[in-house]
Amino acid sequence: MTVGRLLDRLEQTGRLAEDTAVVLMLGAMIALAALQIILRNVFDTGLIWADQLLRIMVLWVALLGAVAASRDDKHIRIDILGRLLPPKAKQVTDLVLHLFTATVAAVAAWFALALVLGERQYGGTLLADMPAWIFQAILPIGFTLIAYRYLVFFFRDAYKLATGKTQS
Amino acid sequence: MILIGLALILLALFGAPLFVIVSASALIGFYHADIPLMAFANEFYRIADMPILLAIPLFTFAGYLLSESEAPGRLVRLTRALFGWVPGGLAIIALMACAMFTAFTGASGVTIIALGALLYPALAEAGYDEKFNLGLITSAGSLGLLFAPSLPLILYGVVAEISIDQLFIAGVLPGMLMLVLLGGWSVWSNRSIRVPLGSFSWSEAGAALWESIWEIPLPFVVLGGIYSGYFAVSEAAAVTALYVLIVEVLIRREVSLQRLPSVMRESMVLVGGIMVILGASLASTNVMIDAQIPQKLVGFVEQYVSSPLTFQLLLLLFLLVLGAILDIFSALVLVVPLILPVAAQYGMHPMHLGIVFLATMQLGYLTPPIGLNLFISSYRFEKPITQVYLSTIPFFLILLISVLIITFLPALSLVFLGE
Repeated sequence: MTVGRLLDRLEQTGRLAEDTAVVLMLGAMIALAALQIILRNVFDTGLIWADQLLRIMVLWVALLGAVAASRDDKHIRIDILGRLLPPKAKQVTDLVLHLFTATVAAVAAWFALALVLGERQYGGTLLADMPAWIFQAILPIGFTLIAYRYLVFFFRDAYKLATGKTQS
Repeated sequence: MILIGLALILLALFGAPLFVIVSASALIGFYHADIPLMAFANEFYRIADMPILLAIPLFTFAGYLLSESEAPGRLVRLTRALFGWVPGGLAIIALMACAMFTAFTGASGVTIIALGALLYPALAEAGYDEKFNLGLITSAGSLGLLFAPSLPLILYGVVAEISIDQLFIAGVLPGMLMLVLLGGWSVWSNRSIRVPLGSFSWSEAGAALWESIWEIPLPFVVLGGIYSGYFAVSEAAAVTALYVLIVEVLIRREVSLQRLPSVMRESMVLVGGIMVILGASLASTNVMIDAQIPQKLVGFVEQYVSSPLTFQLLLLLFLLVLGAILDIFSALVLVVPLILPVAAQYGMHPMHLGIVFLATMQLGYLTPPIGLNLFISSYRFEKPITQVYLSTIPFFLILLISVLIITFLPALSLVFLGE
């Protein structure tokens, strides 16, 4: 019970962190892009690093958005055959799809991590002397969170299928 | 290799997220070509090398925020006050309001939810047939696709690496054509129904204008700014996002500060869903180019198709099928890199190809089995999907005629480009 409650707390904190991150990132993006326009048009100047930072923020917001889409299982999909299946068979195929998604995302996360570690060793810099690997770190983080979400879906649905229950 | 391909297609058809299918095929492709799999992450990271992509989250957020506010109601009232006196007025109002709203919100289905709920009962009240209303709203839900600053237009510019400002110009006449044909049909098919003509009232027009005073500058700033070259597209997006945020949250307070974070998150769910497919497709396109698949495709098509006319007919057929099974965003990032070189071989201008591509994919919103608008309408108006589908058939045919005209009359897309 206490372990369960701890996991619950952890899950809730994680959700809050995910939501806060995506909201702050979008907010900062709007603010920085607007500031840059005002500086350019009113004061005829601009922050030299802002355009590059904005492009990196797009990558971050994209992956944070993809993590959010994973939590709601709202990714773009075709799903022609899936909806034709009887409910029981659909439960089984969903199980396969969740595991497949988690595996592919985990592989992507693993090699993204390799890229980031390589960049760290190489010591590349961006935006006036910031280590470049920090900006790339969202790639392994994002794909890991996506893999985690689908792994959770897999275990949840496997439990449902095994027990025939609808509540986990 | 073929077996793996078939397995991936099967997984996609059973409903695996598309970005997973694309990622898997890219990873497998790199593995087969003995390229370190880190290349996948490297290609994905190229999202951070495309300045124009900034426009996508910003416009999407602005669109979501607008649809959460009471701006849709004001837009309907304003178009009604200004054009309600035209015969068939309300149907035309519905078409215009939907087109304008879709251009700003990016054809993600929010038009039907935000505007349909207002227009559908209004049309019924004015005496239009239920079947007509259902078909009209369902098909109008993706009508503004060819008008700036719609998301699919921007995405096509990104993938095809052509000027988005020019694409915005190329879309104007083809978009108008669809509006005019649908409007004309709406008037003609309702000629027997005596819908009482609204009369033009200066006081109502004035009141509606006053009510929308904060939103009216928006299209002028965005479109005027982009078309005059004063703003880059991503700058216009930033201005729009900030302006809508200030107006709807701080001035009008129609979206509360407490509600704002969830609107932001929801809009980024869509953005994340599109961008993760785009990132994965950068890698998969790279694999295909390494394997010289575009060249092989050009060679293959050339073998069987000799005239540009046959090519364009086959292209249309292909795009119609594609639109029926793939959503517009995935189709853009996955298929455009493949058909661009083929189309160029037959002398098709990339701008023209883009407009044809989007116009045809727009029909996909109305075709089963995955037509997004059908599902949203069915859900929103609580009608069986087959009834929604049947109601859209005349509109589908008119849009198909527009697509044929747009395809075989390239001048419609290219005339203002000075080519």
